[in-house]
Amino acid sequence: MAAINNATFSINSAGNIRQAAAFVAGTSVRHSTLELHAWLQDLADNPAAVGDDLVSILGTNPSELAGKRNASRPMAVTLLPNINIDDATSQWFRFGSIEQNAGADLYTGLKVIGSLVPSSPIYILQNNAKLSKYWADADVDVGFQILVKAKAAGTLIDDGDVTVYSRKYGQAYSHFDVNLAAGGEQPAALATSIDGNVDPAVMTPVLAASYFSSAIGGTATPGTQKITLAYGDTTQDLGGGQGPKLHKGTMTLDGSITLAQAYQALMWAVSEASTVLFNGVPGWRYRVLPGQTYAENIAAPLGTFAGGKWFVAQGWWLAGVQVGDSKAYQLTSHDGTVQTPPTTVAVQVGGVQSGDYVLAARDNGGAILTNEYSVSAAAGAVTINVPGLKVDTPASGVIRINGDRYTYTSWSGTTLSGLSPAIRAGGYAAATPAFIPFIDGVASSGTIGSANFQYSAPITCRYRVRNGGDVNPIVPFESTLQVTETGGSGTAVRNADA
Amino acid sequence: MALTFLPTELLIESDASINDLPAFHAALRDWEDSEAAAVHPVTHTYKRVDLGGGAAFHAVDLVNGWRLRFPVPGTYQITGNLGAEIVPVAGVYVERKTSAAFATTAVGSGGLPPDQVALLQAIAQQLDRVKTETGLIPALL
Repeated sequence: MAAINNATFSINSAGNIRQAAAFVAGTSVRHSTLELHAWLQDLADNPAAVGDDLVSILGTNPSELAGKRNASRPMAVTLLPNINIDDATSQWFRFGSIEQNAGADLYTGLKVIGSLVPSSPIYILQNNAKLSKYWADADVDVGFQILVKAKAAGTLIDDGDVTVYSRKYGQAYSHFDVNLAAGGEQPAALATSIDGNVDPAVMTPVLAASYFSSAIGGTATPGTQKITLAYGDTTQDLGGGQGPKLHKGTMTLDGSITLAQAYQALMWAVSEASTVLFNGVPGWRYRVLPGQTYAENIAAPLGTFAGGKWFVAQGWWLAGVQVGDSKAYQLTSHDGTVQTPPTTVAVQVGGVQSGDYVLAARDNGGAILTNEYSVSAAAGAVTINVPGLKVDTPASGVIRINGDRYTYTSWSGTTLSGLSPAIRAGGYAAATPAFIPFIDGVASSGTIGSANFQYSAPITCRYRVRNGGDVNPIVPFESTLQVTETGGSGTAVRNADA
Repeated sequence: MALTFLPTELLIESDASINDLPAFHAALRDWEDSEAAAVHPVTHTYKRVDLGGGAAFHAVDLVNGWRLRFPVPGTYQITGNLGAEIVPVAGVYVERKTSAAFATTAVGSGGLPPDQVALLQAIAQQLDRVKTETGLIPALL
């Protein structure tokens, strides 16, 4: 580096080293603290002060190297005793630290290391506020080295802690906590890369902002936002077999956006330019769900998107996922349990014709399992409790109670609701056998299928197809099919029966 | 013939003789594809073998434990090849007739194909013409 030009700085009689002109980021060239020390020592051996640099052999020694000179403290300059710089002048220096006012003030060197996308923008957080930038984005391409004020008037600023961020929308993010109290030059290890799951040309920052309510810094009229953020305990069962789990926050999508879109909008919401607040925390310093101490996902604070799947950050419950995305995400509960969405499947029988009666139900090893459950029911009831109701029960369909057919519209827990017709006169006594077929009805086309249900384990399903009518009567057909995590399908063989 | 099905007992009850096996078969199949019957095993197997000339061999065998019962005392006939266990009922007598040849049925046309009818009519016309012209009665060998 070039030696300091006497015209760059002045030193007045009070010992104030001041810049002749303001440092211009990206244009001005910083000097190392060693060069500052060398310049001061060069002035100090002058027989008399020259120009506006009022330091000479007639005064006290203006500076000294302090501390042990090693890799971690390559240059720690102490200004003596009243020689000092101000904050603006400190921007001209790098590589090492400058201590002054008998140790009451400290400017510590900060260096960014690591692999970064060219011109990855850097911002520095101190006391939860961004420092005004006196560096250029391109500095990371040639070596990001600056001084940051760590102590003022004898007190460390925020204990000397700063966090160095690089969160440019469209890139994977990075941040690093640094303590500047020791002086010298402290490294901040960052790594950024292009995030292929973000397309800023499509999901523009303006569009992303419109996904959030203006009440939290977005631009959507409250109530019309596509993503709603809420905070507080919620215990939810995603249905993948992990059971109910505690979550500390809820992201609710309005159903009109994909997970890929939600991911991009949320990446913008935690970018450097974000205006969104997360429970009062600005998105640009969001690291984990506010108030929690989860392990951070530095590259994507709200969860990584990879292989078409969103690995949502810990503690968040996700609601409003589109059907097409029903398997494209996973959650991590407050206690760290990974929750996966259930696999939704259905049973389908093909090769049938309109008018064929199709019955498909669990196989008991040669026949239909007709005593799958034991129930009782009161006459006129339109709901029924089915003890031990299996999770792989169709969302809607038919229950056969002692052979009698009732449709139901939904179920929850062990209760089937919306029975039609209502339970027959006389009801059913305790321990009446019942079963819930996957398909139980007349085909209206070439295939007939069940309502969706949650897959939990392989099932052998027996299906029968009958048609004894005057048109296209067939030899009754019966066979089995396997229900796997991709569902189950079978084909009827229709042999004429007349 | 009216049939009553008692699936819990695997019983088929008939109030009349069963002389039309194809119709009996159709009635069973018609019940089997109903909402109530779908949960129960099929009642029977059925075979039809065309013997030519409009003749057919029909066979119905009750299966899966199904049995036949005539609940009202009286005399009944079963015509055709019906393989079934008949549940005895006091005062009920069942006469069984089996045949491997023609069966009279209300199911389908039951007559000769049109081409065979036309052929027979042509032969009859030819015989009438010979009789008229010669005064002789032709003999068919």
